[in-house]
Amino acid sequence: MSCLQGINLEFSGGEIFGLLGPNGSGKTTFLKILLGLLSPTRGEVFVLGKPPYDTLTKSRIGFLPEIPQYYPFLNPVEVLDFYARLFNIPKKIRRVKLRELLDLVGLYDYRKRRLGAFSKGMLQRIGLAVSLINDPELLLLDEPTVGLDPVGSLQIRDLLLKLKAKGKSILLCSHLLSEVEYACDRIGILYKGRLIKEGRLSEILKKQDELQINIKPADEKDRERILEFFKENTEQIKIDHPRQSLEEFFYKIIRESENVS
Amino acid sequence: MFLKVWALANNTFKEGIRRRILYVFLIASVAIILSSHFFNFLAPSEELKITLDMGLASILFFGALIAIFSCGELIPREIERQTIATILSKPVKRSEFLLGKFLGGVLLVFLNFLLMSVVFLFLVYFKEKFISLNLIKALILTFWELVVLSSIAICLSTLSSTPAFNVTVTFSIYVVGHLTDYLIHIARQTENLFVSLFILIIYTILPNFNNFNLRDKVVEGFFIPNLEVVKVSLYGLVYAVIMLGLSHFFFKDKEF
Repeated sequence: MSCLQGINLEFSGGEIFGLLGPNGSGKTTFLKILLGLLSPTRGEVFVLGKPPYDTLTKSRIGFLPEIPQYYPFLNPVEVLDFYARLFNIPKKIRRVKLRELLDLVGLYDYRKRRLGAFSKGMLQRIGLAVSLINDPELLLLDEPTVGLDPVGSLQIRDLLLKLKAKGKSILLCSHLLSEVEYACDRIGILYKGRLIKEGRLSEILKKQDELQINIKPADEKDRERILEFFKENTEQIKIDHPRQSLEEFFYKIIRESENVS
Repeated sequence: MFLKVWALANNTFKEGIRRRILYVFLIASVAIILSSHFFNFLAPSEELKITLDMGLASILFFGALIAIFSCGELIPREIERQTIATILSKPVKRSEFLLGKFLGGVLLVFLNFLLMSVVFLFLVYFKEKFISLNLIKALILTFWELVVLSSIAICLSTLSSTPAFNVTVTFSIYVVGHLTDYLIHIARQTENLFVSLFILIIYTILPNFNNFNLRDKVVEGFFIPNLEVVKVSLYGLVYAVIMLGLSHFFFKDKEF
């Protein structure tokens, strides 16, 4: 029995692709094969048109593992410097990049603190900075918000949207549906090693046989008039106030509080 | 390639010097080297011999423990922490990773060896106001023995990711490697063909650590030819390269 079969994903710049699937569906195995950490038992694998173990391919990819654990005795500057040296990035450029990335992930003020004293969220952010050290074309993220509290998740998601705006192609593996819905443009569903569904999120989630109309009535009279119109002209209608999800509500409150402070 | 290997070696070294167990070994060895000064009462006329014997023996023994404990755990720790995935997903060849880890481990062993040697040479100079070339030659070969042991520890750690197993097996090889002369004697004496064959195989595969041992010659003041030092150093280098080659063979298709 094959763990993964015939998966073909195409990306364009500035897009987040969410790879969904229950535990054991093959998401992490898929990522590890793309990274050359696992070899396929049969067949061939190409990433960005080349084999994954090719060092040129690897220099075009960024990777954030699930629950990254870096060297606890190093501080963020030392960790980033170490990984930058694995790309042979010259010292002058390294210095500039380090500053940029620490600013991007909001850890510049903690640049001298050892990673051993970091929270999970901070480690995840340093992981994201490490994955961006080579300015990759393709970013592979394995459960980037797992184990984080909602505020930590929000920070990571905002970072992903920033990266998307910068034109990065991102493959996000997750089993957290809300996270994927919030951040991704397209999704694929992996089940028992097969990509059983793939498409643009807005298209996939659309209920083709139903319509949604959002109206803001000017006053009570206007509201009554609109309700009357629909009741007269259609039989199957459900009218209610639109409701935001708890997640949307929570994030809105957090953002408002951040703006106040 | 060299920059990446150096980055890995440097990081390995930085991590290694933070391990407390290595300090314990270092302090114990320095304590034993210095205490040799107080054992002179056992043979007042053999003062220098006792110092030389105890000093060289403790540098080798504690250097071996440092090599086994530091190098045997380098790769398993990277696997356990999954930092190996973050490194090998970068444009780093597996051979570069192995070489970087090995060089970092050897650098760590070298630093400890240097500290122990400086204390030892200081003590000898304090007693004799002279340091013989023989002593330096003996120390050079002791270091080569530690390099070979480090390469064996790295090789085993590419096979097994259990540090306790690697440490135990490498230590056993260290012990048996010092008994190879006895092994060949037993192989010749025994009448059982299988036992004899088994011992001969062990004798052929394992390094002969007695080659690196110049302690008796130094203590007795025999002349040690330069050619012998060069030959044994080459033997150590070749053995370490073979061990690294084997490590690469075991490591190249390993999945993480």
